[in-house]
Amino acid sequence: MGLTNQPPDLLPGTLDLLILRTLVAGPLHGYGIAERLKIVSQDVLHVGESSLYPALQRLLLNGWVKGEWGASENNRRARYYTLTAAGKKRLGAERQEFERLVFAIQRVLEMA
Amino acid sequence: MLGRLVRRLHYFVWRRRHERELAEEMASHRAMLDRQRGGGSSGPAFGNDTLAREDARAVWIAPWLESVWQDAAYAVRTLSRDPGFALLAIGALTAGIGLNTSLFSVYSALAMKPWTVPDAGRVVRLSNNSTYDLRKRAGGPPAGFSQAELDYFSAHATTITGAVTTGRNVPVRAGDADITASWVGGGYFTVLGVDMQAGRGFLPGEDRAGTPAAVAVLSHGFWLRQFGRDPAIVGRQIRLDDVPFTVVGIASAAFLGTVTDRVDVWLPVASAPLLRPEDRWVRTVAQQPANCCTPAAARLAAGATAEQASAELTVLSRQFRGDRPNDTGGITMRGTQVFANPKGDGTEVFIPLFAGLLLVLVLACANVGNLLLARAAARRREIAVRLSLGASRRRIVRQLMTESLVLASAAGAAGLIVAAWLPARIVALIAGGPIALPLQPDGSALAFTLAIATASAMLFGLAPALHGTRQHAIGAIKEGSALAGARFSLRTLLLSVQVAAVVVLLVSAGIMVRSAASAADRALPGTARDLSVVSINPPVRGYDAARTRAVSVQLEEELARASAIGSIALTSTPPFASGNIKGGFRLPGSATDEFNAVFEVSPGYFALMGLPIVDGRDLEASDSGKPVIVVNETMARQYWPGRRAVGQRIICTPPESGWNMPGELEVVGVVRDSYMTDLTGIQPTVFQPATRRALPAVLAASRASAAAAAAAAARVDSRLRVRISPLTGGLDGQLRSARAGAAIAALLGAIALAFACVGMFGVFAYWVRQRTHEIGVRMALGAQSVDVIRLVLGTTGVAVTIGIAAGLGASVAAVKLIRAYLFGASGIDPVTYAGVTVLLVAASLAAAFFPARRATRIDPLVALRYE
Repeated sequence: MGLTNQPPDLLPGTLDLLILRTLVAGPLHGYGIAERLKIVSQDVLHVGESSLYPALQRLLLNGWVKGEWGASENNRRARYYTLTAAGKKRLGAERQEFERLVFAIQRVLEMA
Repeated sequence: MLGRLVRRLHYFVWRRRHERELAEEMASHRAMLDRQRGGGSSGPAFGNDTLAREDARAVWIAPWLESVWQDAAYAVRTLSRDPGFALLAIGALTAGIGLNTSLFSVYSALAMKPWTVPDAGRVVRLSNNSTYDLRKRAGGPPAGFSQAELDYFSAHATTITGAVTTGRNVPVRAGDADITASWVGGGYFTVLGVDMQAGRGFLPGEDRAGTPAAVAVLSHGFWLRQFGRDPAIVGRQIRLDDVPFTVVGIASAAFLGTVTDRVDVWLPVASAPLLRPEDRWVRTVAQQPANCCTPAAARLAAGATAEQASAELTVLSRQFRGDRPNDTGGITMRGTQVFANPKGDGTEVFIPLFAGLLLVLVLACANVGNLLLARAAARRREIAVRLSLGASRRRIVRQLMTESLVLASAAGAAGLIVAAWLPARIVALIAGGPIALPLQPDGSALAFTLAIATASAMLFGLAPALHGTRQHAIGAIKEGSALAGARFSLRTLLLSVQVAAVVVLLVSAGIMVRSAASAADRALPGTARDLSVVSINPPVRGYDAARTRAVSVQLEEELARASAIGSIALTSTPPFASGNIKGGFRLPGSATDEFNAVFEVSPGYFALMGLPIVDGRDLEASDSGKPVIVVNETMARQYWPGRRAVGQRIICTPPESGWNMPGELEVVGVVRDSYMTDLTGIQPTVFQPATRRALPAVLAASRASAAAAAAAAARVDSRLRVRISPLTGGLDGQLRSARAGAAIAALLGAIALAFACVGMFGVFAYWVRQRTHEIGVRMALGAQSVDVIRLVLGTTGVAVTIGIAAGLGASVAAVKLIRAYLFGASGIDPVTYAGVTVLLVAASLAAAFFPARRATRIDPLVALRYE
């Protein structure tokens, strides 16, 4: 159940964080999330469907996003994911946690 | 947390729809990707589609859970394709599990469940262990409490909310029904905290000796049966033994009373004289609150422990009774379960019962195991294919075990249904009267059933599952290779175990049945069995002591006049009736107090009962008022070993304890031993002339003399209540439990034999089927039918023989377990052992008959071609 196309040392749970952050601006469908991540990270982060959809299902299970069917740009049916209030809270907590972790790693790397 | 569970459930319920939507969503994603790349497949950039879907599903439903569900569904499908096997297996297991759970329910009701009152853990029974009390020191029953002492406790103790007597039962007649009433203390309902369906319990003022209040509380069952749930009965009067009582309350349906007998109505102890003015207990205990003894119970106050209450009540008891030095015992608490006695009596009877029923369950498991082995052999192609396709052995074993668990679960559910129905029937059979016990299966019974169902599944399922997935089974894909088992394969081992178990059960059953049948012969010598008992009770209003004495003398004279010599005899208590008295005495020069049963008999008693006098002489008419006694052989042996008992003396304590005369009594005769009260053993017994403290019972040689005696009694006082019954009537009550036990054992033995026969038949049939090819070869080479039969009986016959031998050996040990329930018969019974051996050999031959016949009919040509 690994993240394909990702740098092998991505911290676990980061994908959830990235998806939640992406949805702050507004609802997106799966393709839109993957595209946004690719563009904003300047082509570094490629998320395949074998990692994206399990992650999205996990977010649905925990009630951090809501899924609604709607029409996409080319009039196909697609499921749009919206951030919930619980999801916003979770985003804040995860982000804090992530920054704490990164800071710790930096400290170790910069030690004498 | 809850939200996740709800969402998971929602997903599970609509999983098809969710999977469809996810597939559609991913397809749509792919389409958009394709469009972006301008056509062409975007497969590699996407990753594995199926894997993604599986991972997505794994988020919602744990994979292990799903595979278990899969296995269970598959198991149900394959079992429903073979309903004969499934029903046979489930039936066998239900018998085993149902019986065990039923026994557990009975055990739980007797040993684990407390009284059915709210917060039952805080209610305790009080035991008086005072070493001062005469009866306790002589090894008699532990003394109880006087009502005055209990009131003293209630008034002064802080660790208990109250202490109350749980009284005594008495049979009464209400209208046209014979019911049981119970005399209890005034605080009974309040101290125990009984929930009431309607009305109230007793008020403190209603239980004052001297001013009895004729009030009654009905049990829920009685209210249902007799008054049809009529709510207006509260406040009305009912008649018990023709005495009016006012109903003040009805107990709730949950309350089952504080004794195992079913109680229909509760009355205050103080009202006892209204119903039984003559009764000894009523006169000495109910009407004199300062007199001992009654059983008692109490409720612990909030925050108090049993030890604290024990200590406090001991101190209060010493205060109440006056300080007695050397009194080392105290008041102790014990639980309200039926078997919560200091001696723990009663629980031993469950050990052989549980052992027997577990044996039946093992038998059932062995049978089902054999069936599963045969089935696994039939499915070896399927298993071999799955193994070769890459399934791990563990996975297949797990799937086979799931089948076993499904069978065991179905049997467990059916077993619970059996356990909801059976215990009440069995208990009613043994007790002979209505019983109030919480026999319905509850949480603990459910847990027990779950445990033994799972254990059974392991027991019968694991070995066949492992056996059926052995590596060389793969070779079985090739048609026709018979699984050549080892000489003593698993099947034959199972068969030996089955046969051994059956032998043990049948031997035990046989010995119990034979001892119950002979118990009646051992209890009463031949002539005594035709005797009738004429019981004479005073009229309802009762006699005082002087009148009782006068009427007794008149009865003796009138009976002597009206009956032929030797056709009647008088006794204080007939054999096997309850209510005999004990008397305390000492041997001259000894300081130990003894305490034995004392019977008052007339001169012709022993002759009538067929008991010879082995030394000295019988009592005579002139002995009345003289300090003489006759003892039985057991007493002579116990107190005067190696010497003649005749001429010896005992020193007895005052007449109130049951003796005719105070002071020294001389032994004038020794009589043959006989069972006087019950069949468990013969106690040392003393026989003395009539004391005339109560009216005698008459033993009559024939119905004619019984009728004459009854007529004579009517002539003395027409208001006397006379009843004629056969002497064996009292004995039947004693034998009932022996006979019920024997009946149950016989039933179990029959079930076990049926299991074993089916098992043996299965093994023989399977063996013939497997060896068809070999038999064909032998017959083509010239073997006769006889040789074929010898072949069929060969290996399996050895297994059966080993089983019988092992079973006989184990039976010797098993019989030691049930020695106590044989009522005096010895456990060494060659007839039973031989009989069971013959029975099993016959059964195995019968089971082998059809398969052997089929073997001899094998056409060699067909068999040789049969691959």
